[in-house]
Amino acid sequence: MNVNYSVNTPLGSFKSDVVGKTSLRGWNASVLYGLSNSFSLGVQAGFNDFNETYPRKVYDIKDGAISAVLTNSVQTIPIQVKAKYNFLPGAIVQPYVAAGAGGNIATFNQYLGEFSNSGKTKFSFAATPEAGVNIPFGKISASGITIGANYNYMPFSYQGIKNLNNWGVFAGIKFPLK
Amino acid sequence: MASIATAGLSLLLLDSCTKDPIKHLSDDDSRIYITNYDSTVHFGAFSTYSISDSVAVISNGQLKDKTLSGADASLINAVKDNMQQRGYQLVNKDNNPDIGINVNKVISTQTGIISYPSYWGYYNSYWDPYYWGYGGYDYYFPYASYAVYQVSEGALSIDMVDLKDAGANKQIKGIWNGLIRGEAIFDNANAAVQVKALFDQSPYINSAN
Repeated sequence: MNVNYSVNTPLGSFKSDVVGKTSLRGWNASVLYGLSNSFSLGVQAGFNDFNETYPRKVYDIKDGAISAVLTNSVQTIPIQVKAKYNFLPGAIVQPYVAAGAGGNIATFNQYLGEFSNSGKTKFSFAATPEAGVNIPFGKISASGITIGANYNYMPFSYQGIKNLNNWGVFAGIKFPLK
Repeated sequence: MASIATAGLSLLLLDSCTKDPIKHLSDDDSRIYITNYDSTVHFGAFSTYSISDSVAVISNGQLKDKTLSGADASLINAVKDNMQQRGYQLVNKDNNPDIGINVNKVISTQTGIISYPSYWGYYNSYWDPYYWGYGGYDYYFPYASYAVYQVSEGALSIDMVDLKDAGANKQIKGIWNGLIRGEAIFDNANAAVQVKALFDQSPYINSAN
């Protein structure tokens, strides 16, 4: 089992059109079973909370206008199957690569001032390639710390939003469940 | 099994990780200003206006009161200031004003999603054409808006109606509406700023247009 705190930054149109700010509220966790010394397979879940409030602006609407402080809020909860390959099992520092693929429960909410303007929760695809290192606490310990980075490919189609792609860095602990 | 339970518990905790994205908004930032107008209307065709002498209080779709508190007077005066700046002349309602202006305080204890067309239903049924000397006339807005909002407390609504052309088909047409929603909208101190915001985003209201 691996539990990490993660900091994620929006990319591309997610960054330019929806939320530009980095999320400091995130985590990911995985439960993997070793199929060999190097290769393990399991499940992964995560959470990130992206928010940005834009200064007051007048938005044109049909036959009129709305002046408002606009807030966009996005939460992503990927739930994926994950495979991991450890390049140096048994070493002091163990670099690895991993990839997750599966679903993403993503929620988008937009507020004009204090009023909810639109909102949508969708279940869509998510793929997460990842690279990092595991550093065991001791030579024979199965527990250790994990540091890594990942990319979250998250298509999300709603009101002109195309995706919620982001990248993140994370750190946490790894420990055996049995 | 332990791992599945742990994962399940973790997912349950997710909701508590989400912060309220609008909790930090100040009262000023909480407010929205919405204007709608009849884009076929030529605002330069009008030169005079009159404004109701009090603020109508509409509660849950019914006219409850007409009031003139300090804040009400500030709202009416703010509309007068902005109309003067746009070149319109204030006249008595008996002197055939081109435009009639009503200021309404809409208070609703209902919650739910309402759209503009039904929003008008909140108070246009009460509206008193007799005030303008047009008894029996219908009062309607020819344009529709897409905006949808959740109503939980109140709104300030300022309506402009075309009295100049009302005689032609015995209908009083709404030509402009400004709607203010959010925190502290009924505060006296906010009256002038709020009305100015509505006019600022409506540059077409100009007698020289």
